[in-house]
Amino acid sequence: MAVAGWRVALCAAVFGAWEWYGQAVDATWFSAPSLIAARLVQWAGDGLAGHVAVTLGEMATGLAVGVPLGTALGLFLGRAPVASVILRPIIFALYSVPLVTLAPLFIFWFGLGMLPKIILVAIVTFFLLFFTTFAGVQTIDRDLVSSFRLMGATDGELFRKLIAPACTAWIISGLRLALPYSLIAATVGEMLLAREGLGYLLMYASQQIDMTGMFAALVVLMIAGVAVGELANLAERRLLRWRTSP
Amino acid sequence: MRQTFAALLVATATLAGMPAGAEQKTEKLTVATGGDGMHYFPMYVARGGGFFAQEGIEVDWVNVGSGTRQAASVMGGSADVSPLALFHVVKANKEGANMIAIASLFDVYGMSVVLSNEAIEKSGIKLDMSVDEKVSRLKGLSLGISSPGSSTDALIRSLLIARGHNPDQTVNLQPFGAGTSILAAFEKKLTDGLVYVAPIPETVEQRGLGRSVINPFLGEVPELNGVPYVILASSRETLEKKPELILRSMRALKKAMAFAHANPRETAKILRTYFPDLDQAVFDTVSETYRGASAKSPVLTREQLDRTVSWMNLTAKTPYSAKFEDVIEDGPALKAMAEASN
Repeated sequence: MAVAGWRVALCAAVFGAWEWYGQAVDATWFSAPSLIAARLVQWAGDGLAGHVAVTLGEMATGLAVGVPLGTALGLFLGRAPVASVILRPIIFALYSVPLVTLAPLFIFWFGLGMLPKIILVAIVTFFLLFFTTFAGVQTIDRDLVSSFRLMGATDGELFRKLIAPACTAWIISGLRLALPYSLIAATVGEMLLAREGLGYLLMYASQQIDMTGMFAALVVLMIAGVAVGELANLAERRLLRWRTSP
Repeated sequence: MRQTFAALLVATATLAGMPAGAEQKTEKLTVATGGDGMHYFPMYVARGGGFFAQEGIEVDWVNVGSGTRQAASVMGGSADVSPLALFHVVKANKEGANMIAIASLFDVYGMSVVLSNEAIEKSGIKLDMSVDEKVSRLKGLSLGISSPGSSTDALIRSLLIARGHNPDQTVNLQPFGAGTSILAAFEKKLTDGLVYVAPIPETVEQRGLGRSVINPFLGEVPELNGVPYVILASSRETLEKKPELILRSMRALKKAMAFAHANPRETAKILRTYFPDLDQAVFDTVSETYRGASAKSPVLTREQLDRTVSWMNLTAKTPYSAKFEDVIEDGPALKAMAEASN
């Protein structure tokens, strides 16, 4: 209760100071919480839910593509040393490419709809899941693998009974990382090209020198971020019930 | 509000302009834009005023944020048209890209060089000086631009090179990206000046932070007079696949241009729906200036292309030469204009 009280007091102080500064000194650049709240109310009746749905839709679809692919490749390369030696430098090289610079190519290849944003999210989450899963496979004790083999385990049994359970925590950690990053990727994608979505709202407000609109879009984005973070925590608690959460 | 206003205008225009019983299949026109800017003036009027709708066109307006991405969307076929600077089309054509200019949209190079009050004092620039004198006094100043290779970069470089100065040795060009970032940097005195489109120069002046010292809208830059800024670009594939859609777009633009020049107050109301949060005083200044510079006809001329190429060659390492037929397809615009006169 005391902690909650301190949080409320801290928020009240920050918002109070911001409101005073915005009203008394400079609303042009800093806006004010009351103006932002009014804008959010206005947006709520004017299609905000649609923008949120678009961003979350791109995020979910991108995750649905990137997470399984990244996990599968991580599992495969983790168990295939030769392929790993060949492919890892290439994957690292691709990972180092700033995806934003590829925006014109994304548009050229994938058009102006949701697809370029979905692919952006898929690529970002693919790499996160690949690296965490690959690291997970690498941590499996080789003696344990040998013991399974000595006991006559097939590849399928080895995967089901040793590799998959050992990597689950790593995969979930990757997923936990990927969820907020997917929201950011979808938003950045919408800032690069969009007709709707939270990134579009941000970009539009910025181009209109409308700081109130920009802060309002950021507030929605932060709320979405918190929700996504909580979703990640929930997924982790459910999938890793056997482990104490940090 | 935008929709209601458009609906009213569409209803009026439809009643006045369409033959009884005429039916048109609605087609989607995907327009890739580089954000929102007053230099898209006729497009806003055609869209917000219902002239596209009157021609059976549903506009899909997509913000892709930059000229390169606009070009990619047109060349990749995901956008039917895109409002771009003519010099981008000339450059793309030289590289063998599949992009062609089909209509004139905005006739003045729609940006200006703005200096802070301190920089004006330091440089000794007076607004009534010749442009040659003003440019020579920019020496040593830092100027914010959007990005290297952009229209803002091209303008300041051409101004300097045309007058015998090396841009990289004369001024410090600082890319800031979006207009809001440039304005923030300018207000915090991180740059002495900026080169940008509306409403940034007008906002600077309205806030008393500085003045536009070199302004192509005043006709004071001789090499830019007659150089169209924004044209409507498309690809040859789109022209071949969707000739009717392009022709209808030209009709809509032609009507929008005529409407804008004949009805300043109604035009300002349409435009306001696209810039609802812009300061009223800034909006009034910008909308009137930009209305005057908005194209009066969608037809692009040989002279406009020649003047653009001449201006581009001021800064080109390898001179450009562009054939009218390679860069401009004026058939649909001419047809739309001919229909109007019949």
